[in-house]
Amino acid sequence: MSEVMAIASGTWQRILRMQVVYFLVLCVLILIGSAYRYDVLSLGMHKNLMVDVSLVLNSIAAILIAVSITFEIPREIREGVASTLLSKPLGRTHYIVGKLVGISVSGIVITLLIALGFCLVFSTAFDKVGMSMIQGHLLVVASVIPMSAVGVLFAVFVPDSLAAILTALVIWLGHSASITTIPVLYGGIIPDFNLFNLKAEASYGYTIQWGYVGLVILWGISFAVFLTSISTLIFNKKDLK
Amino acid sequence: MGNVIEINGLTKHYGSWFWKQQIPALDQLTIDIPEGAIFGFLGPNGAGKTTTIRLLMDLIRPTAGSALVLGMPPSDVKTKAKIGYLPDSPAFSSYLSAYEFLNICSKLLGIPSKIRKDRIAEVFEIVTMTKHANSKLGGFSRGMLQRIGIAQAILNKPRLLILDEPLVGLDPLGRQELKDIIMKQKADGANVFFCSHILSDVEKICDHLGILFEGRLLCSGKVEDLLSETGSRILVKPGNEAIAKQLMPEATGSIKLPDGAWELVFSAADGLEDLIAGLDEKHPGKLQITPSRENLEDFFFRKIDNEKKLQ
Amino acid sequence: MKKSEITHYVVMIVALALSSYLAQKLLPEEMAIAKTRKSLTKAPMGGFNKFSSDVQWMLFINYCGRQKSVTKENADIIYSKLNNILKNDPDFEKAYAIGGMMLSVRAPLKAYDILKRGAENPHLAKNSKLPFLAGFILEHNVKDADKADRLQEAERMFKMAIKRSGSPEYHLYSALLRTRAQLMLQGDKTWREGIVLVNKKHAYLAACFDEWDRSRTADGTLGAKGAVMVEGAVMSGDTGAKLTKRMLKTCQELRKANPDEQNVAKTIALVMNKVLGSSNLCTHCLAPYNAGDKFCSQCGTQVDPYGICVKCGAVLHGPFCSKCGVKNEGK
Repeated sequence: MSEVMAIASGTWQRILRMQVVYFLVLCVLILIGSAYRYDVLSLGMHKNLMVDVSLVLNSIAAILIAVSITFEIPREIREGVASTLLSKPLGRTHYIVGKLVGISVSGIVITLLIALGFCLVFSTAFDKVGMSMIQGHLLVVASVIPMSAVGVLFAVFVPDSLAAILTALVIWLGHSASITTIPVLYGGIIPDFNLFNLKAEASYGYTIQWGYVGLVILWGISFAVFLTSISTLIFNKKDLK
Repeated sequence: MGNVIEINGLTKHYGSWFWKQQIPALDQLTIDIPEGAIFGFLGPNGAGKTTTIRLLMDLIRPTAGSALVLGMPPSDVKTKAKIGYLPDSPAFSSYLSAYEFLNICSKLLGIPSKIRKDRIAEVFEIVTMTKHANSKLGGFSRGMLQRIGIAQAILNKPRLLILDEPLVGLDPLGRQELKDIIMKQKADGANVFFCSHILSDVEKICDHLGILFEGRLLCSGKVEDLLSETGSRILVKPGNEAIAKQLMPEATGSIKLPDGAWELVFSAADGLEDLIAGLDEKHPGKLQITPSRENLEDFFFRKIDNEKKLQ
Repeated sequence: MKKSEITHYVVMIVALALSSYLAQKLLPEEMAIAKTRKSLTKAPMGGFNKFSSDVQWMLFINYCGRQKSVTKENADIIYSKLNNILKNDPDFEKAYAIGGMMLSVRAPLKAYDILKRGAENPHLAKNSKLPFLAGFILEHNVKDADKADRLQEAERMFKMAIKRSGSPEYHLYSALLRTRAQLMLQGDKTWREGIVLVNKKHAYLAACFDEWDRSRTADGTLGAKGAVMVEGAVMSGDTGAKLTKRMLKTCQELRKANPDEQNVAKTIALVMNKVLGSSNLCTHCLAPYNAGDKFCSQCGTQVDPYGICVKCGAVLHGPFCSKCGVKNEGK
């Protein structure tokens, strides 16, 4: 476990030191706040708009973080950093799991920051933040885990640019409602990221049960474990530079 | 005394499953490296040295054959706690400081947190990088990275040090320091397996060596045994130029000395002893025959040339 | 196969089974929360349907701002834009309401279509405005569709609006009665006791009476404070009184407009007898008269006076006559 945490902390430190991350968080919060000025343009729908914009921007941040891992792992393999680390008593499975944990924790922290920023902006501009809004954001935060697992899967066997495109594509399609027409593979092999997508419902303040939120998070973790076990199977067979 | 590394018929072909064409990088390598040795692995570019090291570090998977490192297969993760490895072109996470990187390495190596800090300080001292401990690795020169590479390799006081081109990128002073570090590690009981292009350095520090060419092992053994497989130096006394010219086609080198004598160099080859014995009987008193010991460079090139001729 | 590899495969299969199981379990729950998800556009929007809808809404507002009015030409564009908005966010209440009202005159069927979709949206099941507007447009503005079907549909919409409104306002109730009256004029036009409905007003009176009768039957009375149960909703306190007043007014208008029509007379008599029996109304013009009046102030017809002293004939202000001091009871 300590090996996994060591690798995870390396990834965490990397993201923590990227100034662009702080800049993005700031931009996101400004954009969320600017929705307040859209009262005329949206014909009084600016409150809903602010909630939706915050969820959308948080989702985009989560997707970007998940996609970033598709550059991180191939780069480490290409430059030989992975070889150096794997020459230590560190299993390849631990390396992959460490990378997933690192990127997931980073993603969770960043999306939580955005969610907290939204709560602050919303409560200042309007009134108390509704429970469904918090739940909507919580689901976006949790979606980082399975989405990062998709990124890790592609990162271990295709070149970085292609991995990024494939990851973004899978995340995009996984969020699209039409995928539910494939019932057998749905949610198991084919990801159902729509489970995390209750943006409209959170905007309108519909009731979301905590049991649902809990089970969706469990699904995310379970699906991430499934994808990571495939990733490590591939990675274990891979020749490293 | 046992072997720290045992390689048996190790073969590696590169190529993708998609394209059927396979490129052989290592062919049936069989070699044992005894305990207590500093083993130099030599060969031209593309000979398969780095491939061998990566196979030993379980970074790549063999096509055939097997290896044992410290008695265990390379895939055994726990054994790696006793190994120090320096890759051929060390690259580390550029966003980390040297200290942070070594800290991660020490965590991976399972060095207890109580002594971690002291041990890291100690290796910084050894590689003379203490003042750069808190600098970002991204700003380091090739030589500095090489030193950090050495530092991470010796962090766990390894029983076996595997170094891939450790002397590359270092200035003469740095090379000398590294040689000292290697010798110190040896003195502390470590076994060293390394490959290098800098033959003079290898000759100075190695006690065992192996030469690899196009994936095949040409020779291996103790340096003194290999280099004692010598040639001969024949001094043809002045006034016997005809004898000198007769011998010249067989010689690997010849030079006319100021006094008119000729010095001919014969490298070790089949029938050299018979030739020399015949000459002595045929031209008594006209020749002065002295056995010569090749340096590693000559030995290396002769071996490679012979191999090329055979092809 | 190594032990670690076997463990690896076992973990993979267990995780796959668990995630499949959870996804199947979560799907109905997801659909219960996001009831309208199935009606979302099939285009892969990557989960940003609501955002796309918001952006399109602002563009729509912008577009509408550039139009002088809704015409036959731009009605199609407006309808198409609204459709795109609602396909991405079927819960967009404001888009239904504003869109429906914008199209109500120039493209009433399209307006009705939009409003009906909003009315039938399970997330907007408490909204009474959308079905009311849909019914209203259908009743007033749609001319070319089959009348009976259209009226039945309008009635369904009004009923929906009343049912949804916890304490519906009278205009909802009135709209429903108007539609029912029009429906009664379809077919053979025969009402109770062989009465043939002669016109809209007559039918309206009949519909009002039916409703009064039904409410009374269901509730015993019209409610202690005049409350009436309509489609399960409790009407506002004075609705019963308003209904009665409405019937009286309709009776008066009918009497005036159709003084010799037998069917109308029969209906008025029925209403007078059952609904307004105890009221003091002129038998000719149905105008209410005051205590002590001997003739109707509206038509001059002699009326049966009430509220006068049995002894001296003075107007009573209490149980005892203020002129002669006799105690009066009942009258």
